[in-house]
Amino acid sequence: MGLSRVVVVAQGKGGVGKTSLTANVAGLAAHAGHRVLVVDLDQQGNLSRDLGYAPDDGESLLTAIVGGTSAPVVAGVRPRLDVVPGGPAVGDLLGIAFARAGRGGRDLTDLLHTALGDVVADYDLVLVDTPPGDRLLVEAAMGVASYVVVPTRPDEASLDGLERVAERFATARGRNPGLALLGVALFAVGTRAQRMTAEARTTIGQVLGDAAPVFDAQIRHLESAAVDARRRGLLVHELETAASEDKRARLAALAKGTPHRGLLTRDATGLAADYAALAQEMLARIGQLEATAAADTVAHSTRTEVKTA
Amino acid sequence: MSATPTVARRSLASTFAADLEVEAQPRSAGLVGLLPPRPEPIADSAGEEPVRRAAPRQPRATETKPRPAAPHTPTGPAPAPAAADVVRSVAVYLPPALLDRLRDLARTADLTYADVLVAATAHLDAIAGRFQLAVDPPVPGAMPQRVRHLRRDPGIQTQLRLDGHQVAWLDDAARRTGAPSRSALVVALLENHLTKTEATP
Repeated sequence: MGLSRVVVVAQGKGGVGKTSLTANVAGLAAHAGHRVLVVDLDQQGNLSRDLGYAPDDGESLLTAIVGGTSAPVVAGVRPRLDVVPGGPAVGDLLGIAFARAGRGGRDLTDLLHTALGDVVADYDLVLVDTPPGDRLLVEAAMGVASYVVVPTRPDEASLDGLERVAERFATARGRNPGLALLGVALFAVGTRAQRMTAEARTTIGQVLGDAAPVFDAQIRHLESAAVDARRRGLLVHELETAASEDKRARLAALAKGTPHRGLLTRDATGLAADYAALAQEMLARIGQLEATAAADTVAHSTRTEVKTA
Repeated sequence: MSATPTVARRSLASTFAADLEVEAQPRSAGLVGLLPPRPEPIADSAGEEPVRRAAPRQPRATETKPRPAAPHTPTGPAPAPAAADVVRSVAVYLPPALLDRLRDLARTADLTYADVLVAATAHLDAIAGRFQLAVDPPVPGAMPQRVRHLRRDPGIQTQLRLDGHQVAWLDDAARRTGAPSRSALVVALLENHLTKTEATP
């Protein structure tokens, strides 16, 4: 059964914004007062750059999952934001879990459920960053989650990645029937590529039908902000403030005639607004799906009571 | 000669203002309170699955910890368990090296972390003096000497499954021993217990 409030961020293609979306939505939700946990299941461990904590080798997480114990949590990466760090050792997870399952041990979905089950109970929201190519690991993550969100670029290769996510989703749903698609988010959208973006939105909307929305909010492409954010371990809403301060420093240096080497980003306001809007849509959608599920449960209980009476 | 008529123009001061401040309201303002309280987890074997779940969960032979079936009440809600009996996750912060030792013991002995902690609490007396703030002076009547406690690294958050009675015991023991926190008490108990256990052939 899926763990409540656990959102897997998945895409079959790499470089489409999974880690950036995970980090920034988590950071904004924590900043708004929610208790948030981020789980990094990617052996690349790039979340450490986005959130600015020391990279981990992933050994603790690997040991916890394989050993059937609770996942390690690094607390206080931001106020109310904790992390289960990934790293290169997570790449060994599949091989070890596969070998043990072959000897009658528990499979990866079960192991992941044990590792996360107790940990996630303390959080209002849990976001899980996943690797693009690791089918079994992504399926296991979906097997223990409540929701999936798919970031995608508005290009054909990324839309192919969406189809791979759908295959994994269908497999995971066999064991986790409550798994729901939260929505699809357009990422790295060129502000001038409006027609291409509109076509991608139409295509994805047709593919999804009524199953889930394409979020209205879309994350614009701003290469300088992506570089600055990762270089300094800042989230975009933090970079927005930093860019504003950097501008003052730049003007002061200009007035004095002194050189100034600061941020590449001149203005991250638009990008920060994009992430805030996306986070708002995602959280609202979670609330909506939970309200629907609660109503379904009440209706089912009522029918059960009527039958019993 | 008549005066040249003047053209009314709108002010451009705000456009050319020296600095556009970032909005005072934080970016996260729209997310405050957006998530409702966390829904209570539905018991696996309660038999009351939501309608939209199409396939029932298949039981697996490898499950080692079967959950007790929740009592089925045809009418009215089931009575709520007493708060002290409710098991919940309690976070403690353990130094990485201690966590590694705890993990090794738990795995080899097939115990939970809470089991190991319960065993460790049998030796509370052995660690009671660890949180002493001052020692008696070498010369009677002189000022007590301050005990310096090492500042530890923040530690790794570890979840222990404890019920209300156990948490109350820990809090009371922390108060009696003068431990600065529940985590500090747990660290001291586990260090003492693991050292004894590892020394035993």
